Amino acid sequence: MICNEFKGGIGTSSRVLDSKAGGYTLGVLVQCNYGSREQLRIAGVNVGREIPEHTVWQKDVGSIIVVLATDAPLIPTQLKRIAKKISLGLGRDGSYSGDGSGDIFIAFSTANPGAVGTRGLHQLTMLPNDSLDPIFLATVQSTEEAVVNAMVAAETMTGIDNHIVIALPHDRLREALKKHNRLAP
Amino acid sequence: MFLPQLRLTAALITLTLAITSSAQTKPRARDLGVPFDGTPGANNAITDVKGVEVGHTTLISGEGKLQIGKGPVRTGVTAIHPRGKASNDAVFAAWFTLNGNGEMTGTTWVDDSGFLNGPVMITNTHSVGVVRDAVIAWKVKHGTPDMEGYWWSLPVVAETWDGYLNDINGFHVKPRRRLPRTRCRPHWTRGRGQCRRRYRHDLQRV
Repeated sequence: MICNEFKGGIGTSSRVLDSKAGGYTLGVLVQCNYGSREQLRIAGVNVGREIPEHTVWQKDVGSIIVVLATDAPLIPTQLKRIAKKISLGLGRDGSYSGDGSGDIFIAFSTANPGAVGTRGLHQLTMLPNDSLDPIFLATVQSTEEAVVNAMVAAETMTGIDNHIVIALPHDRLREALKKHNRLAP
Repeated sequence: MFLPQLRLTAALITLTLAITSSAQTKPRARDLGVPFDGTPGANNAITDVKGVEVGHTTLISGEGKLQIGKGPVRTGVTAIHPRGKASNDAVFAAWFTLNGNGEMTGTTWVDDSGFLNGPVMITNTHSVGVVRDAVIAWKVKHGTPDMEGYWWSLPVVAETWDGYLNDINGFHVKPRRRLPRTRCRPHWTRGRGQCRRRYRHDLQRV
């Protein structure tokens, strides 16, 4: 898999909301195979332009699948809204969701066990819509980070016909962040 | 009949949280000093959500010139079980397509029912079918039929295209071994290598 023209694949991240927001946990897993190097942003820095060597397509080619899990009690209409917000996390990484990209997401809640049962009345729990903002924000943050984790975890790969896709070089990433005063201490 | 003893068996069945365990030996983006907002969970992984289990298998073999059917192979299968692989309980779910040049099977029923029943699987573009079939076979083997006694399943399987590195048309996500042929009981019939009774609702007893 090729992620922003670096070696990609599976990446993951999570967020824990603070107790005022319910203390819920939210996690994201991506299969990252999309994106153009030139557009890649990490922590707001246009890292892609800082590392222009060994690109593959010079445009957005490929797809990304995102799976989001949470223990927050949400019903399907709310999960649909959360699935949409995943797009904004990809936007933070620089995606413009190109024509060739399959950008497809699914979100689920592990609350309400047994709700699928076929008998009797079901008592469900759900958050009110106006308390969803922290979950929306965590969705965007986790998605943004899972994509970067996919690149950071990957190793340079040689495949068919000796096609080479380089891994995101960790030292160059740090250099780029430092140059723009975005390297964490 | 090919039963679901596929190369992706490990992805379906393993309890190993491959992602979090690898995270402990390799640096993550935060370890490199990338300043992300928000507070991650203990492993900064989807498995921080209680009950979620992830299995992951990477297939790497061969090198050099592409020989379709032989390799090189650079692909994989990932399984996300919302309540763990042992659970038959569904979860509330919804999906969204930001750009539709791809595939996620089973989504029409996710839309209409509001439920996801079973794992979310991810693999390469041309292996969606074999993974989907394997999930059904795995559920038949390990799960239970519905209230009326019928077996049915609409697995969610998604894909991305890895054909720049992988022999994607070689279909390397495939059955690893054939199970021994089963002797059918006298009044049962053999259909496509499987012993079965005449009526679908009897399959639960097979």
